Amino acid sequence: MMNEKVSALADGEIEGQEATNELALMLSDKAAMQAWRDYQRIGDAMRGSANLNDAFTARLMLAIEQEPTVLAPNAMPRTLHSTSAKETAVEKNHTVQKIQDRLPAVWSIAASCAAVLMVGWVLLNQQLQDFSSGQSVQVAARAVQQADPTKLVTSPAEAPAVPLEYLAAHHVSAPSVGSYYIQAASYSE
Amino acid sequence: MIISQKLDEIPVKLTLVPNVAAVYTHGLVENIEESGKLTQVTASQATGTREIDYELVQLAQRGDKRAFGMLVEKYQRKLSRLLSRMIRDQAEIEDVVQESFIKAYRALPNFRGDSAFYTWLYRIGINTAKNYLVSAGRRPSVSTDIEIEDAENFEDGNELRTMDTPETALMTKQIAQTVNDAVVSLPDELRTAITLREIEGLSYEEIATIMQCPIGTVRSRIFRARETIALKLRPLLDTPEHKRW
Amino acid sequence: MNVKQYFQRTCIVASTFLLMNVLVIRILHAEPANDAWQMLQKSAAAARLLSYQGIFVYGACNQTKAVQITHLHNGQGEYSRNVTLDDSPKEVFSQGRDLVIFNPKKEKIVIEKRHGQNLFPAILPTELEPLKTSYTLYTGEVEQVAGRLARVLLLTPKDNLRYHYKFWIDQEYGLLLKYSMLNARQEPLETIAFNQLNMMDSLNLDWFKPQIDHKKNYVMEDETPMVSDSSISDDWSIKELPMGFSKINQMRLMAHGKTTPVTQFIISDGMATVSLFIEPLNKKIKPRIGHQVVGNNSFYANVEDGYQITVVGEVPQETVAKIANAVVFKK
Repeated sequence: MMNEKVSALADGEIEGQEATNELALMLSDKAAMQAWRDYQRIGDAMRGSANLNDAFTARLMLAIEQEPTVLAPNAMPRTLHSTSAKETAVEKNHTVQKIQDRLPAVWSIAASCAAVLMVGWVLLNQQLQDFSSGQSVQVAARAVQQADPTKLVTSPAEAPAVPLEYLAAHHVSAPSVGSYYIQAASYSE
Repeated sequence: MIISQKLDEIPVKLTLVPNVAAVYTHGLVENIEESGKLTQVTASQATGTREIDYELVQLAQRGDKRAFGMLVEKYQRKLSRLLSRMIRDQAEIEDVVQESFIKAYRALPNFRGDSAFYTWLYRIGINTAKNYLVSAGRRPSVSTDIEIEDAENFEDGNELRTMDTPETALMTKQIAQTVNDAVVSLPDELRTAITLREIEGLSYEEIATIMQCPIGTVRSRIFRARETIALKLRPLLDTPEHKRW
Repeated sequence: MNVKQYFQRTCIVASTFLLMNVLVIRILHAEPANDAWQMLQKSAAAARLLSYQGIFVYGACNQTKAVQITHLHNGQGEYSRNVTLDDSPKEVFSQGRDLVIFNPKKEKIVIEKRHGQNLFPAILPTELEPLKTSYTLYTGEVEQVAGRLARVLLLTPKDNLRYHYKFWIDQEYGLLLKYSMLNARQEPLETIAFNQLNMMDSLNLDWFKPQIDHKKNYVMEDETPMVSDSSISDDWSIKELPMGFSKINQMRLMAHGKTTPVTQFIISDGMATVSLFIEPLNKKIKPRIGHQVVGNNSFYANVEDGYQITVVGEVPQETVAKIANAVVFKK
């Protein structure tokens, strides 16, 4: 990973999803992490900061390593919806996976912005029913539409539903630039 | 020199050492010894990076300890400097800083991003220091009613009178000297860029306006300045006691 | 007061001036140019002929994906590997125009085969001439992408039947660094941009293999049986397509849950592609009529003379309706 990105991250000059991606890359790259350390040290030295004994950092990180790993309940990745369920992030990911296994095929991947929201509510609703820890989950009341599996409803208002198989066939023969990475719709499992 | 020409156009003085030219031509360390008193505004480094800090916190909250390590690398010296106003002994400061970070790590699930991470961390640090002093039956050397807001901008005049161990004092001076020598020998545009960033705490956009160049150029200059300085710094740190975790 | 505080006071005024300057400069530089087409042509070739690796991010409709790409041309063939950088990495391999996709779906990995041609950054057609019918190409400014200098080119449609396309082309290597599809209001519908890019000098192909997960089953995709078919129907024909659009391909498919085959036409103007489906009405399936927008795709469906017509593509809504209306029924 380019150290120039690390330099910009250290100055907070990368934002949003790009920042998320770049940080993830940085943390998996030893050279990038070293660059981060060096740049922080340089800035502190320029401002006349007292140095800490270098064994200090090693000692501290060793102590952190030995601490039980904290997991915050609401620390969900950007693309998933968070709920107020009292469970750990690890358990929640696992629960989401179980839910996706049970959804009718047409819901497996969102087909539009509105549908992303729709899928989110379906997940939440399922979570209410399936989540076995017995904890109560606060979810705002919103009707989940029980959709005909061959149709896709893209907005709460009644719009004519178009079967996803046409979109899938279109993408098989004439893939759009983005359809390789984000599947707009998946109807057969 | 580029920076002094630009300064003429701006009707304010940089509030660095009284002799502005001195900062950019002499090492900070020399200045301290000459004048005995250093008035330096610590730039609010952290304000522009609040989002990045929060991203790292969230990664740590999902179990990634390396992300927490990056925050340690960023704030360990700053926190140490903050607490040195309350605790004199270097070894004691280190213990308190260590404990503060461990407490912060354990308390991570409680951090929601309502404040900046460093504000939250500094509060933990100050409370840890207070508790330490109380339990040791001591009164802090300076008033402990430090406003967190001041933490960004406080004056460091007292810092070098902290009772360093001889090793750390020497290392501090060596590192500061090496870095400042390296800054001074940078080409003008690189030196200006990194100084405006690290000392004045300006954003890339602000620096671009001063230096009348694209933001991408600012970013590149700061990066190249850092790499040049790092090259000179690394041999200093590459000894067994500086082995990285 | 230090410099920062001075700036906070004057920033608002200064940035307004700066913004106006930038807008004026943009307008001044946007002019049609012949060498713009050459630049675009070179960039189409560069994407295929150069060897490079990097990470780009795709963004559309509130979703983003980071993808790592390795692309090699060793004089004999073109090879590439794309892998999405997320929890369920999807791998796309290309060799020439053949694609193999390893698509993780729950507990299995579905292997899909495609004959594809527009993996970023090789999204441009090899022949640009047909584009000149429907689009004008303007030259914009030089901007920075992934730490490199790039010239902006704007492919502007001559009518409202297609979207705008913006290309950022690396000044040094001619590679497409960033791409955006925009609607008539210049709002981006999708964007792909490199975050990081390096040229590769090794001809090593070690990376050209999938990451096998031994815990999962690998299955071939359920393919919709499809045959290329240029037969002419007795009941209908396609008359006048909108300017610039022409039939690229025609096939018959036996779709999921259908008893009669569907005819699919691929229709394109060189950049935008639309699928037109014609099938006899089936008493068991409710006929569909109307407009729909799903992500960046416009749908239009209509029923006429016992046939169901469905059109879908990355074009404005007006266009899918016009293409549907190009189907004329013989009585």
